[in-house]
Amino acid sequence: MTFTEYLGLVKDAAFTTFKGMGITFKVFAKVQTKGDITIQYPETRDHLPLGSRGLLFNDVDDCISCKQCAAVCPVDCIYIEADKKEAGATADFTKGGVKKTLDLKRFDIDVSLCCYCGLCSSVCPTECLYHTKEYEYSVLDRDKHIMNYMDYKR
Amino acid sequence: MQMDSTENLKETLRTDELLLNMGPQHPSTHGVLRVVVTTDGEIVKEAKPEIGYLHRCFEKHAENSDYIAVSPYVDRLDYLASMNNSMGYAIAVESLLGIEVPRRAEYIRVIISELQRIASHLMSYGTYGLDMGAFTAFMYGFRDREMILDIFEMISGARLLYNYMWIGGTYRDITPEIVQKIKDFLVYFKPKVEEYNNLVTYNQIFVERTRNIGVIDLKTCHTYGLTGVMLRGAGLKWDLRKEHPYSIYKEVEFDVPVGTGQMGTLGDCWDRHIVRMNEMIQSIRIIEQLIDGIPEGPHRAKVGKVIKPPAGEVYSRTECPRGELGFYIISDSTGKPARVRCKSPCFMNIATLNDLSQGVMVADLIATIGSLDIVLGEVDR
Repeated sequence: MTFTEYLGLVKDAAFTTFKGMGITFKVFAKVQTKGDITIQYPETRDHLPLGSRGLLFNDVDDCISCKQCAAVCPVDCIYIEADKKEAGATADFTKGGVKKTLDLKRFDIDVSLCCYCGLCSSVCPTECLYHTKEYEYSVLDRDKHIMNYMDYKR
Repeated sequence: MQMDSTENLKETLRTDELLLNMGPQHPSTHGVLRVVVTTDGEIVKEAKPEIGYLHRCFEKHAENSDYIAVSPYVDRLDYLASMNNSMGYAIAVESLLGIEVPRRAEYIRVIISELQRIASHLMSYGTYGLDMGAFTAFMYGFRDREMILDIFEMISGARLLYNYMWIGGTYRDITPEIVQKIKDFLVYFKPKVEEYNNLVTYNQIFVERTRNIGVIDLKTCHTYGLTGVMLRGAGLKWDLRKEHPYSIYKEVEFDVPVGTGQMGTLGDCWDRHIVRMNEMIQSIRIIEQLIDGIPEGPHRAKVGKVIKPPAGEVYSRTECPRGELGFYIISDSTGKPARVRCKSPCFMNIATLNDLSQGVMVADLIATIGSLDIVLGEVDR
């Protein structure tokens, strides 16, 4: 490489860099007039769209213990225990009018295993298991990530 | 006496090769890749990629899951192009089942997977700029990728691992609101590719860093079985969407961009970069042709909750942002696949690293790894 060629490269580099800097300054000017793009998270929160897949919630009053969600779950994080109803017990119905034949004893979901694929909520026949928009549920203890929906409290 | 000490020095001083571990925690290896580099001064003598840090037994998991429950795992192979991956798996199982996907679902699938291709190439563009020392490119690439992720969040409910392409169609239907949002994005994004080319691709410093480096010729491509951008960067016009069109790709018009050796040797890092940039323009073209004519109808074919395909085997391949992704599935007519084999393009791409890095500088090794655009989730599976 001759010295003239080298100088030519330096010139090209400076020229193309200034061309790129022009684009940067355009964006800079836009931010100055239109305001920031960044959302300052804890103070302001982004609006989640309809159907966001956040923390799972099960309405146990509507659950018929069919265990389809547990069967389809790819990571097996749904634990259901249900007994047959005792003879002579009063008939129990969901809000949709489906008769409950089983007595739900346990409905736990290990949220630390859940991969939020949405398969369980899609197979639910009574639509009692669904994703909420909640996403802030970090805890210090791993055991607390097992959600007990029979008496729902964190 | 003087002579004696020089002789002594010559005996005690010696040059030696240096073994250098690059990764697994290294910003420019794009994940948990470890490269064992033998250097002779600044020159790389050997660069052995060590993989397996992200191995998650995908294939074994798939044998123990239902056909439906495999699809969340498929998303996690190439986590930057989940939509394309799950589309590949869905097409494989559909051909095993022999079901027809509704037209509407095909339209949605192609639109979404082309959007995902743009997102993936934007990521590649951004991180490649970062490797070459251009931080601005990274910020711009991520800014625009974020808009695509917002669209995906509206359509599927998740930001990164969507599980959207289901067997027989899609998870949810597309709404007019989302169609409008995609149109707005196309209007916004169309001039951006040109802008990014001016910002990074044609920048002389970037050109000098990437030209004549990591040259992959066609012979290497055939030896290693490289596909996708690697092959097109080497100058061969091969795109599965054109050669063996699946879904509705035979109804849309688009060009296959190839490397031309414009800045240096044919098949160098710069060629691969420009192919990715041009593919984004073609993806925009495909979406523009389809977005106005989405037919009415169901978005999912009638598929039972338990999928039991007849006994048999199928191999299907699709064109992902990183190359040809193949799925080989053997069914024994039970609810679980007997065998799922995934042929990932990234695994082939990373295998060439040792050949490409013979006698280059250490800094050029970074440029080569960046231009391969590997995702370790897909290499290790």
